[in-house]
Amino acid sequence: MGRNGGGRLLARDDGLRAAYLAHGGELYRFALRSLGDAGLAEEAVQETFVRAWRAADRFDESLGSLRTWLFAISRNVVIDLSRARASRPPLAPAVDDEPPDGGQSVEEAALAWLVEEALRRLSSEHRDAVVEVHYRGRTYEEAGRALSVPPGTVKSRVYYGLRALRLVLEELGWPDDG
Amino acid sequence: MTAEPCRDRTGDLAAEALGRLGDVESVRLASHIDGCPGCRAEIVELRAAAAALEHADPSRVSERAEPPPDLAGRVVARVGIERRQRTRRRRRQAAVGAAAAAAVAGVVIVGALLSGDGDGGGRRTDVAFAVAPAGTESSAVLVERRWGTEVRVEVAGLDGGGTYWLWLSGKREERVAAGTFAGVPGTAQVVMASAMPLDDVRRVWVTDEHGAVVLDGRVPG
Repeated sequence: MGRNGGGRLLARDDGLRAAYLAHGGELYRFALRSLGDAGLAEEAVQETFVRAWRAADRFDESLGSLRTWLFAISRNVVIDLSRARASRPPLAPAVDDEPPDGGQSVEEAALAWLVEEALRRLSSEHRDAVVEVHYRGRTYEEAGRALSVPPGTVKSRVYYGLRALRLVLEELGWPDDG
Repeated sequence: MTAEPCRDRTGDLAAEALGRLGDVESVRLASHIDGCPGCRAEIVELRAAAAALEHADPSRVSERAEPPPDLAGRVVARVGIERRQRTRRRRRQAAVGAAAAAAVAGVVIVGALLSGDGDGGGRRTDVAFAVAPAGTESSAVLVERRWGTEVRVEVAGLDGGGTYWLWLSGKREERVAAGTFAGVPGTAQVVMASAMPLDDVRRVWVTDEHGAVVLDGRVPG
């Protein structure tokens, strides 16, 4: 697309739809994970695209991808919505909304979402090995039995899983000090 | 070029990064890492990935919430509203800009009329009043116009409140009224007009309401 290709893309309805198709789902999950409220997450996605459209002239693709740019905007939107929500009393308790983790800040929720999204992108073999060994605290032997593979294979999958995770996190814009 | 880790150590490097290596193996690996740039670089990357895992809630990994199907349409609609608002705003700004430009053009036209630019040759003749009451200061400028002559009189001290008549006289002493003005305190700048061509004007004079000559100036022929 070249310089400001994303800016031109957002200027037209079909380009806007294309950008939404490519990144809308991710933006929605990020907002939902950070805000814990489906309605607010939808609002966050709309506001993100509106702000992106307004600032489209300033988007320079040579400085980063459209996705990275949209996520930078989305992060600000989520923080704004979160602050706005904190400053007004709740109208009624939400019934079917996913509650945010107790006391988790937007920044922490954003990091959590990044890692969860990265884990989703691993192959199931790598992800399962990491989950069994790291999160479930199983030994390589136990994990091997659970996954029906030899312990050595689990060890190898954990290694490649971590490597893949590192790469995906980089792609997703993981902060170096995260 | 980045050094590669030893292939037979990668499993141990990952286990070490996750804190799952036994004490003995851990010490053994540490002494190897000290002398192996490839494994040293690799353990840094693996530890970063392992540290990132601490931020995640694994129970959420299997969830993959999808936005409602109509959200795409709502996004496009919202941006559409913004786009129309921007268009209206720009039209308003353009209209204001055009009005301002028109106002400036108007000033230029008036200025041109007054200054003599663009409406006739604009030749000027200064007139000194040989006759003037004591305590007054006065001068006049004649400006050539296509429609005749513009007369600018500046006079200070005619503050009696009465009405004054401005006259132009031509080559044959015929006189033409160029208008009236009121005597006011301070300096009055009066602009008047006559159909008499500039070249025909020989005299510029002012009378009071009783017909007495107050100011009188000759124009060289």
